[in-house]
Amino acid sequence: MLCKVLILGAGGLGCELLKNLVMLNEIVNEIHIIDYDTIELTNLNRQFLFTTNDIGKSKAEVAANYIKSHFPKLINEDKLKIVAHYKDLTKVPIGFLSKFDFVISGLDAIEPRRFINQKLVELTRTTNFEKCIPFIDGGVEGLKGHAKTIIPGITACWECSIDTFPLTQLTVPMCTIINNPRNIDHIIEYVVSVELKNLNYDNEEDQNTLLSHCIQRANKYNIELDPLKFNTNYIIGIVKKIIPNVCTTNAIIAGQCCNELLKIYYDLSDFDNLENFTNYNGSQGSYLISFSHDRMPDCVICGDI
Amino acid sequence: MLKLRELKERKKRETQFLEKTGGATTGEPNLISLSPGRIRLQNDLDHLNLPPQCTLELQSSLSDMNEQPLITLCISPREGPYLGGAFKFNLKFNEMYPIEPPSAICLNKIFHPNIDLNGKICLNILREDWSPALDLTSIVIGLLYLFLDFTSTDPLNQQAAEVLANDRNRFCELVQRAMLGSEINNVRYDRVV
Repeated sequence: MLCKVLILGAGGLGCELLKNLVMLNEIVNEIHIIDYDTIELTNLNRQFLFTTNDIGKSKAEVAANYIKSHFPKLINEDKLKIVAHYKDLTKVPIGFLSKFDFVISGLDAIEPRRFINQKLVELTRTTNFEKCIPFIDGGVEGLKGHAKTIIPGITACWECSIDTFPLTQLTVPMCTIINNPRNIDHIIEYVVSVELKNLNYDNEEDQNTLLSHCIQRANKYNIELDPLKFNTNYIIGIVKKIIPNVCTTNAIIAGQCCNELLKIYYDLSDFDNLENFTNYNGSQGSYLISFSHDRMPDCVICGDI
Repeated sequence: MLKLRELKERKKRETQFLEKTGGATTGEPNLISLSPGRIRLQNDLDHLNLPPQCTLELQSSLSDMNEQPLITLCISPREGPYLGGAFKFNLKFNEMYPIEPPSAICLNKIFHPNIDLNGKICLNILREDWSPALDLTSIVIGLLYLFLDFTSTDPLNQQAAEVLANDRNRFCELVQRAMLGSEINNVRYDRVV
């Protein structure tokens, strides 16, 4: 049996996943890739299927075309079908998902992951396990990453582990932000949450207003600003919570995700003791651990199947 | 993928058996169309353990995707300096709940060291100590606690904090006056009794 795989996201992880799955064409004969994003200059350090000529175009379409033009033999001999979807994945109907054997994701946001997890659990529930599509979720953040293997109704779903989520923002008390700012992050947080709400961070004028407010407030609280570092780009990076991603972590996590797919395909996984979660931290030495995350009996998404 | 197929078959037989014996739990179909964040909020509401001092109300149906879920909460402390007052809060939830806490705001202008004149609240579990393992009941209890135990360190209302730090009796007196809608140091507070 050859499999159909859906890749969610055609960014840094998506490019790696697509490359890996194309190389696995002995077992994968159809790949769909979905992404609603377009290519930006800052993507090119890791999203290796794109070039400067592609800026502004659909990531999914350019990625698919790259594979088509570089592997003409596979495509022409019908050994591999590649389909790009330039659309919002939270708008896809559940019927679209049901034709795949695997869903593998390289997304950068939580909402679409929760959406897909919910839809795949729902599919398993409504078809009474007739359709039970493994969802392999990869995620990267700087030098860290994870891979979760979710077999709806069988292993822990995405929502089962939600209690373990660390807080990524709002980590400073409001009183510090308002009365006792000690560093530039506190200054920026105050300006965007109290002084200037509803800014458009992509608008140059708004960016400059933001910068001048931050400088004013920093001066008021005697917080030193590094003139080399402190500019609109730096502030926008903080307010948009941009974390620089690197090609190396993407390669490791995408490799791990595709390993999980291979193990399920070749019956190498022991589903009774599946080490369904893998965490990777390359920021100090190299730390890699896989473990079993149990299902939560009262999970609001999969607790009833 | 033989193993996975076998596993699916086994699960299928198990659930069929459960259905026959009446042991299967059927999912609530009205929840299926809701997003995970809203399902979780509904679950919080279903398991709410409300202290008797508090009442709350969901302002719009959770299935109304055009409206961000908004809960109004009213706290009437039964002890402490705020006894006799009724304090209203808005809790606004977004789709990231419970990964992100709701944003909470006090709707009354009150004399409280940890609540500023715009209703901003300094409560650890609403920001830096939030965890998805907490729920709506934890938030309600956290807010209720603000009226029983408050602190003058790191205040949001400097004046209130100063009075509290220097003279607790004076503080309690001013709280009572503020709750009646009086003016304190040129600030008119809301009548909440």
